[in-house]
Amino acid sequence: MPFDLTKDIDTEIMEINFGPHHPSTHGVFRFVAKLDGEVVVDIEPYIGYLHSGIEKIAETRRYFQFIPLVDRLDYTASLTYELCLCLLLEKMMEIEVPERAQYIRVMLTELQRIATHLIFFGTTGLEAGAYTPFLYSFREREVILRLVEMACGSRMTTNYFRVGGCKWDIPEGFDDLCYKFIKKFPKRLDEYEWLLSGNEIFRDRTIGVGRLDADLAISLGVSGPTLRGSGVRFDIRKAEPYSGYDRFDFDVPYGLNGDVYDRFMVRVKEMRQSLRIIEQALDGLPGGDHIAKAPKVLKPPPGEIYYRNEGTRGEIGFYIVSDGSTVPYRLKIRGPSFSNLMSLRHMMVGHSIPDIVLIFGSIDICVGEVDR
Amino acid sequence: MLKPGELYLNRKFDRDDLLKKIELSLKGIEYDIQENFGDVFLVIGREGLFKALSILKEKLDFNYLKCLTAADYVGYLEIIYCIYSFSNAYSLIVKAKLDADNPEVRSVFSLWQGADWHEREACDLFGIKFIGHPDLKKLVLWDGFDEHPLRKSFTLELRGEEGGDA
Repeated sequence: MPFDLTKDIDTEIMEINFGPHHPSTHGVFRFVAKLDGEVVVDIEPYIGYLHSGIEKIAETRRYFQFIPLVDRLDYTASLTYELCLCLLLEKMMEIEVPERAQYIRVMLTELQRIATHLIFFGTTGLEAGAYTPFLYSFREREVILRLVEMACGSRMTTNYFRVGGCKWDIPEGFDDLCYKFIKKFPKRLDEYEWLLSGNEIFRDRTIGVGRLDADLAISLGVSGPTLRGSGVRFDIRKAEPYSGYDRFDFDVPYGLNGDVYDRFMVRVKEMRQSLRIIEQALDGLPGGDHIAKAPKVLKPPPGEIYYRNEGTRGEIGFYIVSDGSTVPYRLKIRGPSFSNLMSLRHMMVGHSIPDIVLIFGSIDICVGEVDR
Repeated sequence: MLKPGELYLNRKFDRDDLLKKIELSLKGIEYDIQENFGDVFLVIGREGLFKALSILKEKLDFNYLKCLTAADYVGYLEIIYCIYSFSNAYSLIVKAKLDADNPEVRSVFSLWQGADWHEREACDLFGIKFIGHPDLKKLVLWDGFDEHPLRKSFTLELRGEEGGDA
């Protein structure tokens, strides 16, 4: 609950440092909170602990050599970054992707979307003081990671998508295991809702906390579930469909208050929608090639392009300046968490220490893509 | 803008409409329209840049700054604004040339608050000074590192006495 700051009590401002290794900061992120009594009056975020100069490295690597590197940006949802880079290069070089490859891409990115939202679900529970949801959600995440491993060969940094399609076709038996997961998961989601979303204590802790207005969110460049939680029902999968997303029937959840609870519920509801997409993709999985005939050495024509897609945390964007050679002249990565983090100060001021931990968790950042 | 809870469905980007509106609202400012892979680029001189951007924001409702970055073309820098309008579904990329030796440009923090960190990052990596930015300090690099890594003059060779594995 926001506190009423009365001016007649004169207290000294105290500074408290969070991070870079605080468990609530999800990686190496640091912020200094200025406190008046127990109320946060200002915060100052510091980033860059994980800065790896990946945009500079990109200028020395060929396009296909750069695909494994973008995995390291958001290591929990690496396929969304690969997808964005591949779609951009396909648009530049006018390569048509086979339908089967498009379906496989959609299926796997949606699986990873569920996996990242499960991490979010578990850690939000931890931040509110509930340990059980964390164990439950990681049990389900394990099943997804096994499916991802089955298709891509590794659990996290997948390196699976190629320009023109996928590295290889999905293996035999993948669809059976995937159907099994689809059948089981909705019941598990109901269980989660009993654990957190319907929990009286959790609702008391989160409703009305860390509010973000829609206008302010847009001005700050916030995107993804954080933006939708504020009532802006904008999803790039619907607004600018890519990779055949317009073929699938799914809904875009949103919140109206823009508080921690709304952002949390948007992600929980999104898991169900992702599941619907995966089921439709599995049902309608067409035959054919898994990769189009693309040149071995990628040489996009000279020009500049900005391409974006909907990552699990928001708008993933690549800006590439090509000079017609095999390496990009300039490559800029727009990480959604980077822009979302700017809303931190606006959400936190006026709340107490236990609340700011929850607010920070509700943005769901990945420091790899913040620092790049 | 749509009301809260209304879904932003696929709305086709109307290029002719956008170009016509730009022509109407940017009277008196010199600019050049380019097209690349279906995106519309607006190339403006440095003097008219801020005025053009504020007109684009106020009149054409470009209320979302997707991305702000720069590129080094050895001899001059280019600053790049990728903007989007929720109400019209327009996408536009605005570019302006800057001096390589003393790159200065007016901050757009007053138009889009999200420009804050993007400008600090561009200041770190390219050395661009954003006039009017509320707090232009280091963001991703450490204090005391006074080179600008994304300039083409910064090469990834062995650096320092111990060297690195670049």
